[in-house]
Amino acid sequence: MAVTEKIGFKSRLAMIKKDQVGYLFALPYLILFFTFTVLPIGISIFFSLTDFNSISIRNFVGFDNYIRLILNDDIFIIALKNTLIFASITGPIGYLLCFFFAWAVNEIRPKLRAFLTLCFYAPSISGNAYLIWTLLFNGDSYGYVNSILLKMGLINSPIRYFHDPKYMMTICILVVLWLSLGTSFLVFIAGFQGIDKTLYEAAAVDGVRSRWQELWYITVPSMKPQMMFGAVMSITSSFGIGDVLTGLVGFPSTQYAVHTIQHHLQDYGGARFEMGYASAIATVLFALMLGSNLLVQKMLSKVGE
Amino acid sequence: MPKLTWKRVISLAIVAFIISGEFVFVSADTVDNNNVTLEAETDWDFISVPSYSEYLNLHKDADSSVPEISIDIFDYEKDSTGYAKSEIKYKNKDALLTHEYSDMGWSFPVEKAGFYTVYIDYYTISGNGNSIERSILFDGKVPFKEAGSFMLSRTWEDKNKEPVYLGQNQVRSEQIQVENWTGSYLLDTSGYYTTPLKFYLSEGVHTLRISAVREPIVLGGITLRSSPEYSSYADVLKGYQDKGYKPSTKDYKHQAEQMNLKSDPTIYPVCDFGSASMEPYTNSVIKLNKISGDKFKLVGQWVEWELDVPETGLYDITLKYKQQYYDGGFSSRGLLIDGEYPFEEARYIRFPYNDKWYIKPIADNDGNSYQFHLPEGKHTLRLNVTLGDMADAIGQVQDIVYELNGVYRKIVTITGVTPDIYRDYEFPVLIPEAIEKIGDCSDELEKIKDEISKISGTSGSYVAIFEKLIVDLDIMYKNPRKIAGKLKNMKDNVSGLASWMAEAQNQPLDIDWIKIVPAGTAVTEKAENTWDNIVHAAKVFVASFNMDYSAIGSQYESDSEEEIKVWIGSNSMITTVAGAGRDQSLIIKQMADNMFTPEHKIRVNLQLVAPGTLLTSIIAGRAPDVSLQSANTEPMNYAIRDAVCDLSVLNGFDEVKQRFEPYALTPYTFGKKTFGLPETLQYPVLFYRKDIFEEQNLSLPNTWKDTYRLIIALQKNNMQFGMPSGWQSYLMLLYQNGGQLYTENADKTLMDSDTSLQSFKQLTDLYNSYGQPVQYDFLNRFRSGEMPAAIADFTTYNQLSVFAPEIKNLWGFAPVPGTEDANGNIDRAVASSGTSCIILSSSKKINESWEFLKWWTDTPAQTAYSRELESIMGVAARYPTANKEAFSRISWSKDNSESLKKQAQYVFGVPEVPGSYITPRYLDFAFQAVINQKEDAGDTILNYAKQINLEISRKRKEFNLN
Repeated sequence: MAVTEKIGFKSRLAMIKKDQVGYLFALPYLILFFTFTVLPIGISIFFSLTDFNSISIRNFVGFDNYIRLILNDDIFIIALKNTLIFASITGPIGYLLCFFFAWAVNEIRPKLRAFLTLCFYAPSISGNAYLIWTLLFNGDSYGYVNSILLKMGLINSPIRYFHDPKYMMTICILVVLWLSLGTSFLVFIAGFQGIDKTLYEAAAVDGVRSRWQELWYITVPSMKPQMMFGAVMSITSSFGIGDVLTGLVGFPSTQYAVHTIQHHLQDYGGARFEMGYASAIATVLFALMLGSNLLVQKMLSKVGE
Repeated sequence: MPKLTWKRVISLAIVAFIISGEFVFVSADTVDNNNVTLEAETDWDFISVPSYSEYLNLHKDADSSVPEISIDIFDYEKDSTGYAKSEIKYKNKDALLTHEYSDMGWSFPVEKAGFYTVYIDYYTISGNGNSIERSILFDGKVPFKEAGSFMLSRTWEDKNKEPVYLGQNQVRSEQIQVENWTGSYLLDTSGYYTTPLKFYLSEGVHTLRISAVREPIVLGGITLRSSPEYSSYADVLKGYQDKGYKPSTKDYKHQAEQMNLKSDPTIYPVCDFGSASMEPYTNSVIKLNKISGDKFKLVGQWVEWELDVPETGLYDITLKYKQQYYDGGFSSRGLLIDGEYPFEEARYIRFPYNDKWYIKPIADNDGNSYQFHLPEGKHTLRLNVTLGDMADAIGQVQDIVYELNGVYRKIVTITGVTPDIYRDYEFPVLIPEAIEKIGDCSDELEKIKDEISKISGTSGSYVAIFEKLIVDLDIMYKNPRKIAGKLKNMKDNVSGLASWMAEAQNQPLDIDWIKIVPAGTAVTEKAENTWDNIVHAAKVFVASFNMDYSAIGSQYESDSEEEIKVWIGSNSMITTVAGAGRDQSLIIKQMADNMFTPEHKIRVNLQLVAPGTLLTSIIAGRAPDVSLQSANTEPMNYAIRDAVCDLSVLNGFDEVKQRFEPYALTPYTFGKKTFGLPETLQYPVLFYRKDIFEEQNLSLPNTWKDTYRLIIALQKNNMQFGMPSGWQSYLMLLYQNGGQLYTENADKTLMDSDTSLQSFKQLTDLYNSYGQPVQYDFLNRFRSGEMPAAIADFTTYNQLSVFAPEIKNLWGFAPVPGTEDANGNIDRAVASSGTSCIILSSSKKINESWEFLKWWTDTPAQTAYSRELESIMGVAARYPTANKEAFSRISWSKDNSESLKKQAQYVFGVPEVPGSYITPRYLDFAFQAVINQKEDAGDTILNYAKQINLEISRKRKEFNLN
């Protein structure tokens, strides 16, 4: 049984003083982080307790916004449903895709690997290149997919992919997956490079027979830090999907079919000028993301054991 | 022998059946096709006037040297209209003022039959400052298409002869129109024919009518004479030798940016930072140092410089120029000295492609420089844009594009726009002439391509589109069964050809300076070298850290009493009229500095901001005084939150209100208060293709009943009618049926009323029952003729004009179809939209801001602004100003202008109320539900109406409006 001393205040100060160079290094980032991330979150939480209408604060309403949000807002439920669908499909699947592609690409020799990495990574850094999908799936009878299907006789009249609730969700998920090979992908590739090759040899000696066993017992545990990072990136971005969808289907989407919490937020903040309510939505979204992140991290810590 | 099982028997039977069926189909080719429902071939000349080339062919034996006939302009026909005696005298004789829309006729005897050209002496009075357009008729008929519309050029000059500076940067001088006597032959507007148009007149008495399409002029005289002829250069050169002219010993350089006169106010000098060799040189501040090819490129434009010749003698004329626009091609110019072409070859001088600045003499195609004899003293040198050697080829290409478009439409009538490539449409039987046309066009294209390659000296990327199209046409001609499969290719390539043609009509040329040097001493040399340019580029880079290029003119330091801050939201597309870019902001700033500040003693600090900045600035407490170009829906949103001022209480408001149509103010009015003044106003009209309507014998629909009939007629020929889906169309039908959007006191929506249900059902039926396309690309379909009629906002005119140059005179617009009421009156109501200007309530200079708004929305400012925009950026930037008077001065063609006037009577404004942002949204949802899921129209709209009412009442509660 280890004895832990209670570390007094004075000794804490002394410890900080000893590491002061480290703290100084971190200071610029800490200041920026605080000013541009922590502080706005705080202000937003403050606004969520008022009825700020983008121009003036009139009253302090306490938890009214939250109550209304959870109990009285139909559209929020739709948005929540959409967001969870997106998050649960594109989050894990995107994540697995990243991992799988990284693993596959890792096997190839360096020059080709670099080229393939670029191919997979390009969509997520190329700004608004995802808009090319609007061209492909254009609802005009001259749109690429429509005209091919019409010519083959599979459909009779053009399908309006981005305005027909039946198709919107599927196409959007497709596009988001296409975009999901982002930073996580690069991190995984780097991670794969960094695994100690001798572990594989040792495992082969110990009786590991298949690639799958190798994956589960060696590769994944060695990649834990990268996987954690990838998970965090995936989850946060999948909850925050909004702008990409607006570019595809417009704002708001027909019958709110791909209306996410982000859109809901923009709707109330931008179009309806109810910034206080929008801040409440933002806070709820924040809580959701934080919660799911912690959950995933807990799950991942059990991997490989 | 294989066993004869049942399977084998059946397969053999099927094979035999198919083979015998082949014989049936083949023999059907000879069967009489009485049951084909399509019309027989229609006339190819859809507008029954020949083209100029056909006209010339008709009279090809006519005599070209004829005596001169001078027409006494005061001896006009009795039915002439729109004239008056002018106060201005022409060479001490009286002159005739002809107004816009005037129609003057004269009769005169012709002694000798032959080709006559028409020369007009005229005086350019200001009018509206638009281009002067006329049409000419002989004996009551327009003899050929090109005579239906010809232009007379105006003259413009810089107001300030000395350079003008705003801060450290030089700005261009204001352009003013010169009123002077000038003369011109009747020329082809498009430039395909580089010599004056020839009219054949037989012996006897003829009448001539000139009808004014646009702008008034004062007529001094009309002369009919034979085509002007110029001596060849060889003769002129011999003449120099005979007269013993010697080369001069001096030279003289003149900067191109110092123009004496020019044909358009849009030809102004610009600053080029790209080379170390520019004169005047600059690497940081803006100095105007060249004439840009962007501005000096259209047929009909000319620039004149005044040269101070130091000594009598023979000179070479050299220019420092760059023509980097046409890889493999060249730009042409005609050169006139003192208003005359010195010799025939001067009519089309070539400036070949080079991607660097070159100093080159005016020379023939082999590079031998031309010599000019110039006496000492001041002389004018004029360069006009001409298509030169390429004119013929381009004119022929235009004819081919017309014909191929016609062929395409004929084919589409049979197959629809996505033909089945496995089906035999029997084209040779149905449209044999069309197939012949394809073969002819292919041969002609081949000839033209060879001609162009010969002229330009290269073949390759410049004529690639020809080769592609020739290949496709050959395949279609030789094997008509492949037509269906090649149809899309052909359409794309014809569009490509039309684009090539539009491009080829541009003759851009950058000029830095002109220098006359002693004859024989001119050399061709590169004007810049790489090392200097590298150094120069480095200097420009360094300077870019110090120069503030975002400042629109001078920024005033002090926040003094007499200064207001005006914001304008930025928008990068000139064809969408809301918002502005640098060009617009510069114009507004210059106008404010020149017109507003001197009179009102209030300085304007104009800033171009990103959209969305206004809201954040209000929250931050740093809002401007005035905001221009805000969208329709904004003022209300700011108003109910007390962020903008009520203008109705400011002095002079009632008078200001009169400048606009009453409906223009509707979106900004709530109760008795008005929160914004309209800046632009736009509404839908019906666009239609005149040639297709004539070809198919269709008439413009006046009511929706007519429209249904039109839709059916169009669909029979695989064409469509265009109806924009959703909000705009719903409003149109709702108001035509006598409905309203909200109740009187705006507390509920009337979307659940019977009228609304009926209108909504009428709208959705168009798509569900009549098969209208929901989503379509209007511009492309209109251009190809697939959608010859469609309802669209009239500002689409801007984009369509530049987008589809090959159908230039073949379309127009008319008022939309209306709904007939019990008394037979047709209500053509349409909803308007537009932008507005507002005064922020946080402003401390409300009175000054109000003065600014009053000036800005008044007629002189709006007229000047719309004219500047259009003259600098062309028709693409036509500005739909909300000011009634200013709008009437825009140079719409006669037909279009009448249509607009007619439609304007029925326009209404869309009211904005608290919560109104939700109405278009839910209407759209309802619409989509009915179209996509085929839900019941009535139920859906009732459901959404309920939700809209909920939202409106929520908002009203928030603002205590109950």
